[in-house]
Amino acid sequence: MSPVKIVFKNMKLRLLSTLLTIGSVALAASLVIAVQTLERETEQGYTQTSVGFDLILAAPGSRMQTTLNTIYHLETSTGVIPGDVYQIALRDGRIDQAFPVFVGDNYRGVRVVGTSAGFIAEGEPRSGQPFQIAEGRNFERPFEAVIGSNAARRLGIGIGHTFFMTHGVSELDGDDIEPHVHDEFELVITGILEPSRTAHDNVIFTSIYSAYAVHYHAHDHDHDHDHEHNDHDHAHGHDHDHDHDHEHEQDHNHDHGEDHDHASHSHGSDNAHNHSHTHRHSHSHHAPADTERLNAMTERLSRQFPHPLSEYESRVSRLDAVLLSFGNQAAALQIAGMINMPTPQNPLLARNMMRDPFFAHKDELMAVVPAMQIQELMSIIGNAELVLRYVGWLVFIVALFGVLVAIYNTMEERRRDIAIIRSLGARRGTVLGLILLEAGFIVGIGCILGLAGGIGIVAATAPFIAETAGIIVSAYAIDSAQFVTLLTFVLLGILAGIIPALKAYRTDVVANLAP
Amino acid sequence: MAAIALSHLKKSYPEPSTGLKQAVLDIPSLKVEAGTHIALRGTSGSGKTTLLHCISGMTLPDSGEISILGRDITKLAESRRDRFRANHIGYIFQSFNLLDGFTALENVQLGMQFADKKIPPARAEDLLKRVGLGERLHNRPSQLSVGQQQRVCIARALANDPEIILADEPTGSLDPKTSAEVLALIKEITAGKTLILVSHETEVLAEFEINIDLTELNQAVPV
Repeated sequence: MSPVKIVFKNMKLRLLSTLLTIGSVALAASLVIAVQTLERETEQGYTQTSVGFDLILAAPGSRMQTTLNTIYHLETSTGVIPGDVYQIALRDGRIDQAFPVFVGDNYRGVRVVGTSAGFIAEGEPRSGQPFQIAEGRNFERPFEAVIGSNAARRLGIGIGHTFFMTHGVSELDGDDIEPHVHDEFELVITGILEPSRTAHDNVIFTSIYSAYAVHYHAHDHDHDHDHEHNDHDHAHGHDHDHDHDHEHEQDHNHDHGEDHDHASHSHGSDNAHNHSHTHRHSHSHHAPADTERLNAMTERLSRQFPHPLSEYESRVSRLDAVLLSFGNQAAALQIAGMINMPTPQNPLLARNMMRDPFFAHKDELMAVVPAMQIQELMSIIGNAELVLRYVGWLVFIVALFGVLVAIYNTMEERRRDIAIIRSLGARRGTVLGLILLEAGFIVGIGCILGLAGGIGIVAATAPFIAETAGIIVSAYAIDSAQFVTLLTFVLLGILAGIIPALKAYRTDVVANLAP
Repeated sequence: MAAIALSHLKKSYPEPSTGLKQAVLDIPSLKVEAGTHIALRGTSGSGKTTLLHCISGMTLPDSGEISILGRDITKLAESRRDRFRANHIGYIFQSFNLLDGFTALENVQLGMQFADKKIPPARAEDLLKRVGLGERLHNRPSQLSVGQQQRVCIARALANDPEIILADEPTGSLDPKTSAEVLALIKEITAGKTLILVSHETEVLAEFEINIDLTELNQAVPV
């Protein structure tokens, strides 16, 4: 009979006490594991998502708000900036990449972000990891959209799904009792993104023109709404300075024949129309592709928007922000300094600054270095996490004392068993080892359960974190540091077993044997 | 050759109330030839159990030599003495000393891991079958009668095939009929081995050709 079997027999003999002790260790370990996972995932989520961009140009206001709004899809915009800023950025040789951002609408609570097709094609949600399209294709025309993996799963929609945006960045945004649905503009999902484990997984991306047009279109339809969200004025009937010819007016007499359910704002593939669906899906969580519907929409949008997408994007006269990335960080600092610092009194310096193409919009802009904002955010979050980590360890130490007490308390009743084992030839060291092994097993099993519990806690809180903090945390992202933690716990558990083990070690055979 | 040879063995225990040492054993000499069965009789408190504890190496004498199979175990370190016991000595207790949470089979198997010898795992089952417990292998001690428990204890004592068996009042807890059965079993199963059986029961003692009166042998004078 192996020592392991002897230990398990002993544990089974005191089943309730053993289970309770294992339970307390498991709870403590799960807390520590969950805090560790959340700490790491939060930090990675925030820092890795932000590293793709060096500078954000947005309307003056809270820098943190701008960072959260443009990169983490939280909060609201600080205001609008001229669309010309994006065009200047595209032409500026100092800038490697420029992507516009325009938000203000949602679909069933999922934020719809207006940007350029290049954001999906060239942008990197994580450093060195460009977006991957899991299914379908990028948007190529106004009112086409690609959807993040989480959003697709959450909404249960797939390629070919058509929908109308609702004003506001979230479903219950602002005080809207009856949110305004932009039911003049039907969008279609053309692609589903691979999970990037960033906030981008939670949103729908469409052309900035689509997002812009629904807010600044010049149709003469009635709008009684007075929306203030994101400072995007609904400029219906206003005298815009943009000169597009309203090609975005959509033909609602498309030939699907289905009854549009504007209450749900969607024309999902589960509607009444009888298309023969082509199932070409690789993910089981979202709806299958509705190829027929996609083709019909593509055809219609191609007719309506025959020009290249960039041409429509150039018509956008207002946007929330422009995300910039630079090959040369000095250029980023130069632009940030020019925008954020007051114009120097020295006429030579001032003249030099005025040569900068962004100078014309200096007063309408704020330059934000997202990495600095994230550093600031992490210092705040880090303190809270530090407290949680200490609490976790404290709970674990209490659990270890529980292990010590639980085993120690059984030593009195075990003295006879120990004496019997010793009378059979077991050495003192063997008895000591058996008790340490038992402590190790209790903590080890507790740690394994704690690992599962930690994963469970993170998995359970992940949707909440994604919604409130804009980051995707992976419950299963267990790394070597956590195994080291668990190993440390087991070693500490064995250490906790030393006191009862020494008691066992000192047990006198003759005195404790029945005659 | 003597399997067991004691020389000038002295053992005392502190008196619980006064703390003064009280002599329990003072045996000038005792030899037990290999393969012989002897009965050791003595009145209550004559040191019978203490003597067996000393021979088994579970406790050390204050002085003297205990030579087992030619080896003075008093000179061995405790851990080596434990190993020596596991390899060469089987112990049958009056109150069985079985582990409650373990089955009959597991109780027998338990001691097998402490010996250096390669003992085939099937030996535990074979021994239990030999003592008539083939149908009770997986019963716990609480599910066995006292007679059956003592049979498990006998099987356990033989698990490592030791040369010496020490039996401390093995029938002391049994009724006369069971006592006779168990005694017969012990004698049969330990044939060829050295057996020291301690008892104060005349019926038991009468079964042995060699009877040693410990009261006469022991010269210890209580202080």
